[in-house]
Amino acid sequence: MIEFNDVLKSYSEPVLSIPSLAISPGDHVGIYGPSGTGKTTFLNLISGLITVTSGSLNVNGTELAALSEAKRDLFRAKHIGSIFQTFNLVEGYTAVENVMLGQVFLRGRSDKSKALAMLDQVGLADRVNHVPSKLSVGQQQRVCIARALVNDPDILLADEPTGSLDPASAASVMDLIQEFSKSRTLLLVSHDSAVLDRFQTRISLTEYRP
Amino acid sequence: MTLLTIVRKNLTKRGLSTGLTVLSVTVGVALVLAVATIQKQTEEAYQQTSVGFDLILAAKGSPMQSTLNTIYHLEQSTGVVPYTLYEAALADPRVEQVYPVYVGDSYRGIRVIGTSGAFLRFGEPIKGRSFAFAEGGPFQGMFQVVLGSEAARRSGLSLGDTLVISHGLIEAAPGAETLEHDHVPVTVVGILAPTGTAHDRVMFTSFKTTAALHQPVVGDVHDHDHTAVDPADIVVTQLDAVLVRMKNPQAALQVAGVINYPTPDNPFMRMQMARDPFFAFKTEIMAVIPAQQISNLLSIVGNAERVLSWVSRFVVIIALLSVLIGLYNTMEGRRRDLAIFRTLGARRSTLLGVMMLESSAIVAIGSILGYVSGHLIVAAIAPSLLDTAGIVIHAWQHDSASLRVILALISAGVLIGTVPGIKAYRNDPVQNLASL
Repeated sequence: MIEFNDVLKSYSEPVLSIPSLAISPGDHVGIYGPSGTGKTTFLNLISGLITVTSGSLNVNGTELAALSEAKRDLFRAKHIGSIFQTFNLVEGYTAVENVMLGQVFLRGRSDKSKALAMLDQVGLADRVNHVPSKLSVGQQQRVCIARALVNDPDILLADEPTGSLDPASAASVMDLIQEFSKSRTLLLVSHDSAVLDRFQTRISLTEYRP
Repeated sequence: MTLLTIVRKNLTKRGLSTGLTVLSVTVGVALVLAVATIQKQTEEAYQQTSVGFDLILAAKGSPMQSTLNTIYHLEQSTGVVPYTLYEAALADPRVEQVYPVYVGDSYRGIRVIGTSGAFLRFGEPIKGRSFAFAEGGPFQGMFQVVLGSEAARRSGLSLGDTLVISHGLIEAAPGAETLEHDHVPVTVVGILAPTGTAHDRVMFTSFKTTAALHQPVVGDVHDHDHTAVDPADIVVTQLDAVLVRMKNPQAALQVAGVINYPTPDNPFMRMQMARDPFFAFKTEIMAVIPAQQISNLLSIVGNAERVLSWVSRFVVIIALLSVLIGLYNTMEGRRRDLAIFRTLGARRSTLLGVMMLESSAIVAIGSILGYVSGHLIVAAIAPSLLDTAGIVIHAWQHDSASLRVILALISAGVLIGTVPGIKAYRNDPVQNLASL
């Protein structure tokens, strides 16, 4: 369960104000809104990269703002999987190494067989030793998805995951994300109506502009 | 994959930069260790080459030259002294031991030291340690030589071999004419165990043999059994120096005073001084207290080495700074990677640790390579030091100080890593990633 209560997030000025919002476990939510409405801030709050200025944000029964930064990092490694528009793969690391990075920061060491299995599930069994620059953008996004899933998180956050892909690749990536999110909470930010149409629950962040 | 894998990958990702930084540490550590090793062993060599005697009585000249010539087998003799000086020293009741020194000959650049059998029996190449024989024994009669360990190695001579000694101390150029005492070959009867001192690179023979080689009478024994030459037939009129060990070392100062100080005008004092058996030689000789000369020598050598030592330390400091600058300059290019690590759950302290591990790995690799290179430098220089200064340097001798230097440098590497580490610690993933 993700629960927002009287949440205000401000930088130099208020960005988000969410009086009340609850997302149940297993919900798949499409999030949209024009630029500057705080979509990325919304996801960063849930991942614990940033904290609320005031109010309460409770994720899986944990009040994130009450945790130390180190504990939020651990919480993020354990419970959150992140998929990015620009994939954010580390150059110089092979596909399997990029996937294993997610494991290292949670457990201190990796489980290569699990990382290889994840890459196999996203259809990259024959690309495990390729560095990002040797992969197509669609393949890079699949590596990013495998990395997001390797720690078996409860919540998947996706920020414009199809923003850099052609329509065919975008559809394929969305199929993958939705397939692997069946038992997880999925919050996906997109401007693409074809992507948003896949979600029964949609939230417009325009509603939460202060 | 572990954090150490991430450290390794970070270093290999920036291979050229890492390689150059490691190289700078290698050069610095190699210089420090080479200078320190040579410094330590040079000092030990000069200090350990025990004189085993209190006075050098030699022809007037430079006391340092005389010390170098008689103890370290370097330089030329300051001149000759009458043989009667040796006899006077032998007869003096204050004297415990006397060793004559007769030099001027060599074999393929290896000096031949003419002395008495007592030098090899009672002399101490290292304080409190007598000469030991690896093979054979001391010379018992004429035309026999005993080789120092290094002299044996360089000459390739073995026990029982014969050789022809040349006049002069410098090895002649190939084809050059030499004045060889070819009428009298000498035989190797002993090889000394290594002492780590200048004595290792010379050969010893009876001073009567040295004298005999320069006398025409022996020339006539060509093709004859030269061992039949009676030492009594050899007339020794001069030596290069006389080394004296006093029963009471304080007496050395008294003898040195008689020889070196001007004759007093006061008749009574002059009469007192004239009673000393060495007074008769004071116009021809000087008395050198070797301990004082060695102290001066170490001071001269030490000054040069101190400068080198500071230069090498400066190089190490520059190398450590290059590690710091090298890593710090990569931080701009790492902002994105560090931000990704944070989104994947890396703690700030983990990133700080990664940076500290990176810098200590660079310093550790550089130090290990520097350790090996430093000793290779010493190994390369050692033969020339042996030839020019008579110092035996052991390039691969274990030295706990080197280990301490390396551990100190690695600690410095950890500290250096904190600077870029703090920058990594402060990395803001939200600002440094375009999205999420």
